[in-house]
Amino acid sequence: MKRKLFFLLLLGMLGGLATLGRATIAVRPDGDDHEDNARYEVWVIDQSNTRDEDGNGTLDSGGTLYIFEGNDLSHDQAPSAVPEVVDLGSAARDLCLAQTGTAPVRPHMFFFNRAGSHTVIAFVASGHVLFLDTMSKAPVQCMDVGVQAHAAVPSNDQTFIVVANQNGRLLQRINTNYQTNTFTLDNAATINFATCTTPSGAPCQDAILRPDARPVCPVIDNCDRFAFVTLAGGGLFVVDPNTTPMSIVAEYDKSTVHPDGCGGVQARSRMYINSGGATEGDLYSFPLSGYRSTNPPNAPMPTLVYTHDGTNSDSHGAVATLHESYVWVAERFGNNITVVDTTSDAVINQFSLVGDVSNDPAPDLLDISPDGKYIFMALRGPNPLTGNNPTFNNAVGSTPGLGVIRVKQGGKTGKFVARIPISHMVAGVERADPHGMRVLIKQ
Amino acid sequence: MANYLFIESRDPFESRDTRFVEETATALKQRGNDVTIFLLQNGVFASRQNARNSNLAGLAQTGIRILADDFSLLERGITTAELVSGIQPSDIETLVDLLVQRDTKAIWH
Repeated sequence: MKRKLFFLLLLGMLGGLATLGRATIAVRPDGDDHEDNARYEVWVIDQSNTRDEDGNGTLDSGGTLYIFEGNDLSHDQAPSAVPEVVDLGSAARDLCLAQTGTAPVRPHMFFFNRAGSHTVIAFVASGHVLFLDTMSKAPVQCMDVGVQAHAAVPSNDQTFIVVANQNGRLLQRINTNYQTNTFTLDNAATINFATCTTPSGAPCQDAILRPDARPVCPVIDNCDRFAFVTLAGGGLFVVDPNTTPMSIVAEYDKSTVHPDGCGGVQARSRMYINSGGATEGDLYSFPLSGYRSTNPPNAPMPTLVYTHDGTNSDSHGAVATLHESYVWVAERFGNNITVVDTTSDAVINQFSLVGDVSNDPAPDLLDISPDGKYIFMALRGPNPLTGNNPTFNNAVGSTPGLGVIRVKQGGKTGKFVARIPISHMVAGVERADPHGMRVLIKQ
Repeated sequence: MANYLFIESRDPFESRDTRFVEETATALKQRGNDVTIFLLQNGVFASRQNARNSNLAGLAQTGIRILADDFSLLERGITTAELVSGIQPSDIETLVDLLVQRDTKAIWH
């Protein structure tokens, strides 16, 4: 309060003092006093099946959405937080079946549109993209984009969604109008990574350059100019999502960008993208300008922030701390968080998540509370359905649920303070496998 | 000779026009004025020693006084030990004191 009074005093003084022509007098709306206690929810999806489609006694579709009130997740109360639960094998499945003829399988990643009015869920095993009304949780439309929808990422301007159809090797665009609930797969916008050529004339998929050009995750910059598309076998494309068809504006090979990245976050005018896999863990920092189709391959060159290759790493989720001071990257296999200074791209810390709360948390996707005090993580289960290499069991976790990290020292470090268990026992076996997770700021 | 007080709240990594403060402060100092830059909110990011493209060390060497708001530093996890040489942590009370000095011209950027 004292600080705010000083700001008011400052404004009054500045209003009465001489100023130069280019000066502005305003308290920036993103001012420092984060006392607003914005209400928020934490949504997490257990991607394990909940519905027996063919009546043979095994579960084949569905999934479960858990919604936690943010205020229930503070340290003391968190383990007993009671979520709202939505069975995706019910109304959502029925709508998909009615609109596409098939049931959706494995709700893997999801995002909210910028206004928060809609939730976009990608089903990685069946290729469905489902739109929920965020407020009512009612399904409003479902479409089947093909072989796999690994991630469907809404643009910031709310006019389109970029879909990584992973095993279809397609990058697709859905045109969106959230006000009218109109969502249209724009086939003319599709890029086929199995058959396309890059601006340099090289094949998009090439045995040496990019041996497995399945798109994993599109990460869209804040201005919707670029989608950074990670590839399963290594390499990356920067795509202009606004053209029809969408167009590759920069091409990277597997030696420059390693395989299976998915975590991506923009901070300090840089785009941070990781690579993953059992013994893969790199973080790259890309500029947000300089992309021209006349550039040679691998230009502009990203900065390699760190490499943990050859260690039990598997970097996956990534998030920026308050004010984008630091980027945190979680390693599923390493059970740790690596902290990067966004003004220098230097690694300044790595801390373990193994301890009293969990002996093997397997942290997956990350998101942050609006006040920046907590970072949440999806914790994988003992029978992971995606992203696991059975030789290493890199995605296997012992404590499926939602993890809560208390952010400390302005984002330099944190402490894993609580876990909210998520369980789905089937015939005595723990099948819960939380993966998709997002924080919804309440309007 | 006058006192010039620049209050820089913009992020140098997000706003290209933060060069305006550096150039104007340098020019005013070269004309014999007392110049202070007070870094506030995301303006403090340039104060990290290893920050990309930061010119603050050079500015401090020219005799420009550079202060950084301690609360803004704290919120961004920047400690005093991490500051560029020549930058002093300060506070809002000091800023108010500077503002009310005679012959002070303030520029909030």
